[in-house]
Amino acid sequence: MLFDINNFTGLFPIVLSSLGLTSEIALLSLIGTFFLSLIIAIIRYYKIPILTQFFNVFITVFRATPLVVELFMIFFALPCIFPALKAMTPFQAVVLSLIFNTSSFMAESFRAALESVDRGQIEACYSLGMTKRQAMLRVILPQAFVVAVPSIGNHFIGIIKGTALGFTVGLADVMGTAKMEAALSLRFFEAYLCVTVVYLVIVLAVEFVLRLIERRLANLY
Amino acid sequence: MLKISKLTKSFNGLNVLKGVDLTLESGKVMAVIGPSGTGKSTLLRCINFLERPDSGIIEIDGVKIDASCAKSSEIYRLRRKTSMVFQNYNLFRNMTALENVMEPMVTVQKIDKASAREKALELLGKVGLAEKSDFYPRKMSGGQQQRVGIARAVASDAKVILFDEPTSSLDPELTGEVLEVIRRLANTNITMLIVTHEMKFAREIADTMIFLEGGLVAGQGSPSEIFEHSGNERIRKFVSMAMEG
Repeated sequence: MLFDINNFTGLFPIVLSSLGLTSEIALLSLIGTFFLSLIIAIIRYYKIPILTQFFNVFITVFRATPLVVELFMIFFALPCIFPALKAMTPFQAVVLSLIFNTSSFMAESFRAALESVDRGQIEACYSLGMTKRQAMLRVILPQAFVVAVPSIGNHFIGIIKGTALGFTVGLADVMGTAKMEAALSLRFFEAYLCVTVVYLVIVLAVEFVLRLIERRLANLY
Repeated sequence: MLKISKLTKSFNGLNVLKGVDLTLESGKVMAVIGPSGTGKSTLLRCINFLERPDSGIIEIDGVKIDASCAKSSEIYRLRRKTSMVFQNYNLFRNMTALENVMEPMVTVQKIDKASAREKALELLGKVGLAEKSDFYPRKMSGGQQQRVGIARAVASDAKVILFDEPTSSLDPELTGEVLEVIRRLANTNITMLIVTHEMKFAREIADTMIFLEGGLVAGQGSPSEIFEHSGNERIRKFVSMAMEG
């Protein structure tokens, strides 16, 4: 039989039981990425010395290398040099590499969003006696955030798909579970089609929600 | 109230202000006139350190700053003594008209929200925009935005309000409503420094005028002294051309 429908449908409960782990990785990475990108963007926006140079190197490295290489560096390679890192779990390694990799892209989007707020409004803040911090929190960030939302959404989708690399360090996420099932039954088509469907549905659902949010935000101010 | 001495500012070696002195008494309105590119806007922007002057002394309501060695805490104190009405309005686009006017009270003066709202509504009423209080800037005309900008500047509780060509980016038919608001403000004992190209208006509302040329105060006096009895050939030419245009 070319396609075993019973095997295929039977895979879903097994694979979907790992959905929790995949979502956990994705959401933690998204939150981490959000804050790290924001910090990097603000540092680069104000051109804070030393930190700006540090993150310029950081961005160059993490943008120019494949996610899987970064993951292997963090999980397999660096602990050989720094024994303290041996305590790191595969879960932590995947989340960290997703945060570092995605932040190196998202920080640039955030910076562009910060810079999209015109100089005049910032001058208005200062002319009223507001501090740099108040101007950032009250005027720049609320507007930059709206500008950045479509790009945050795209990066989130990238993160969701990136979680599939978890299997390379032994995580039983959606991809890892399907791979194990395929190895047991030797029915590769069914297993990977199942993974394809699961990711497709998740990402389409996320895209749908993102579009609703974007439409709400477009008419916000 | 406002005293400036020997204020200088240069951009990339170009000396824009070459030692400006001026004194403005409390409750008075001073108009700054002069040809384009003579540093009128730069003068205003230096007074609240949106541009950092190279040297000179600025004193407003007891806060005295030496520009050549100003610390940021001093700059913040000085800025609280002034507020600015910009050529391009520069309203906060993420806030409604009401929130724009409340902002300096809530964030800088730390007035509680309820009182700030009450005062902001009153100010919006004074500029004739009470019914627009919940509108975002992009839903308002330039003239309306500028009137909100004026209300915001007044809300800041500044001792001196600086107007940087407040009507220059408005359509002619919207200029009138903004000038009317400034005119009413001028009658309420607020100290104002206005850079404008509206000569008739400047002459009408100003108590004193200065004529700025080449980064220096080339003449100063009452409007009638500047417009009718100036001994300076350049000033006479400038005002007669400006009044015709």
